[in-house]
Amino acid sequence: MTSRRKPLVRGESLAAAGFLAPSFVGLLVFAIVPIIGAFVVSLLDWDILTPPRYVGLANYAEIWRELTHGETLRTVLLNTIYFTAGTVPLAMAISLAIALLLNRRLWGVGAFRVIYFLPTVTSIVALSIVWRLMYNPDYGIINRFLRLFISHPPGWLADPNWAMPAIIIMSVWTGLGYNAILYLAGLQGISSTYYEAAKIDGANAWQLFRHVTWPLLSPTTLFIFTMSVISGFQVFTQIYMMTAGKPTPQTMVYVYHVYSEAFTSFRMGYASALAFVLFLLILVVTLGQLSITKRWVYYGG
Amino acid sequence: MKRRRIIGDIATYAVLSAVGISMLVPFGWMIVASLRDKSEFFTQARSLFPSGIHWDNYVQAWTTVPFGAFFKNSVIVAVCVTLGQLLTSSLAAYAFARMRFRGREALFIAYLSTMMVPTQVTMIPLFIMMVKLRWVDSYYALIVPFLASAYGCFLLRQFFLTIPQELEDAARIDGCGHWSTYWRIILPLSKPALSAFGVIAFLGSWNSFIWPLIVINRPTMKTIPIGLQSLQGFYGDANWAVLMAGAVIAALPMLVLFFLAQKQFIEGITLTGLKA
Repeated sequence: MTSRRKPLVRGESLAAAGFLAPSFVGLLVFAIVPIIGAFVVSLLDWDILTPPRYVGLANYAEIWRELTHGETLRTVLLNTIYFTAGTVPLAMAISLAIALLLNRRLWGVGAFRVIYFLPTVTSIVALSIVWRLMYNPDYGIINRFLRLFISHPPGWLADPNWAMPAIIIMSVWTGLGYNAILYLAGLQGISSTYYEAAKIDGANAWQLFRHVTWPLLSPTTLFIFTMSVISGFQVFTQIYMMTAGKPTPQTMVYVYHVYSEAFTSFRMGYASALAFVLFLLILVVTLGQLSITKRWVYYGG
Repeated sequence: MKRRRIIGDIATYAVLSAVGISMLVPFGWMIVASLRDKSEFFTQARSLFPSGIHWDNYVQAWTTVPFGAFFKNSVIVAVCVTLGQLLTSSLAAYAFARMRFRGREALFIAYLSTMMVPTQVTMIPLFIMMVKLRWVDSYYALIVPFLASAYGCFLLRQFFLTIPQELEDAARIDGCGHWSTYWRIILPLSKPALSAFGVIAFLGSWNSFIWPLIVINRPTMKTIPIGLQSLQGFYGDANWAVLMAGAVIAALPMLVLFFLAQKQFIEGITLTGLKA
């Protein structure tokens, strides 16, 4: 096949170039060039308005100093980890439980699927505004409800200790339906023969879950885990809309910090260096996750 | 045994309903709050339901910020980005799945590797590029950088690979070139994959926030999410009723679309995973 097709190959290269050109130009100009550009800018001291000044690795040195001396940036990074560690396991556990229930395929379950999906298709901006009202310490619905049981409910977004948990709860709520639907798709991909065989061996419900469902679901779990951690590190919209980092610095997260350094303080070089460091962080965390989890992910026979 | 099953079913419905209610409460709260009188928010002992139906909140939201323009902008941008990504991605996917050329694997890996870079890295140079091109406050800035999608190329290539080669060989014998094979054989057979990717491309563009926030300042050029953000900037905590009316106006078009095409939405997002 290969030798016979050889004359065609050269002609195909030209045709292939035609098919690839639109996406290639788009990715080159608006993805590859900006990546290189981001590195170049990270070596500059530049506010866009005045001419840039080359400063070498000074921006990276500043990041290192802030991280090691416990200044703003360290707090920002710790807040981001707090958000991710608070959101991801909680969201995964709840959405797996929901998916297991949805997978019982009872009558009317389709309606629940649609309801759980509502936050996924709604703009986080609109959801943030609603949650901001619900979290209002005085007249929000959450504290109105809590006051039935306790006399002094938390101040939520206004309270330094409760602001981040409040953002976490809202974010878990927002992503629940999406994760549950992904888990449901994973569950529906498990052949029923495994369950039948295990039942013949006398397995109970917990053993079925522990020894059949959980291992066979591990690729889905790994996918959701990896993607959730990546998006946890990139959280921005709900922070911007609900707290803008306040009570400072309790909800100041990484991308919000990059945004305000670049577009409020106009420190383009420093912000680009920050963005690059975020990229490296995500890369290291993702590769770490993949290598740790590789051992227990089961990809079928 | 049967009895245990019934108890299990009841428990399942109970839990699913409880979670369902928690999903619906914020939406219900948004609608109820949007119909209140603005003074109702600050009194402690008010009822769960509004004292009267205050439709004027919607009028006030609509006139405080130009929601009509936001809607028009969002539609134009999301439609152009979706169609553009579908076209450029399917063309590239066809080349990667069905054509032989030197450096194909290396180029494909190069495409994939652009997906790994978080948007925050490219955001600053892209903004500088928009400033230099004088594209700030224009549709160009919202559309052109997003006409190609490495993710779309990847997804569609995976789908094209599942289409039997025999179909294509038959078309080749009938005298179809690459272009007509792509247009007449591959695309019609790929409708599920195209609609799935189309849904997430549309949703992603429609709800995108940080990029429009950076490149759009002029009120009449704003898309719905940053338009709604400007309404919050305008009222803060002073008029919740109008803010909620704005949130309803902003959320409604996508919710309507979702109800009309639930199957495509859920299948599309399940099949492809949503890229945040």
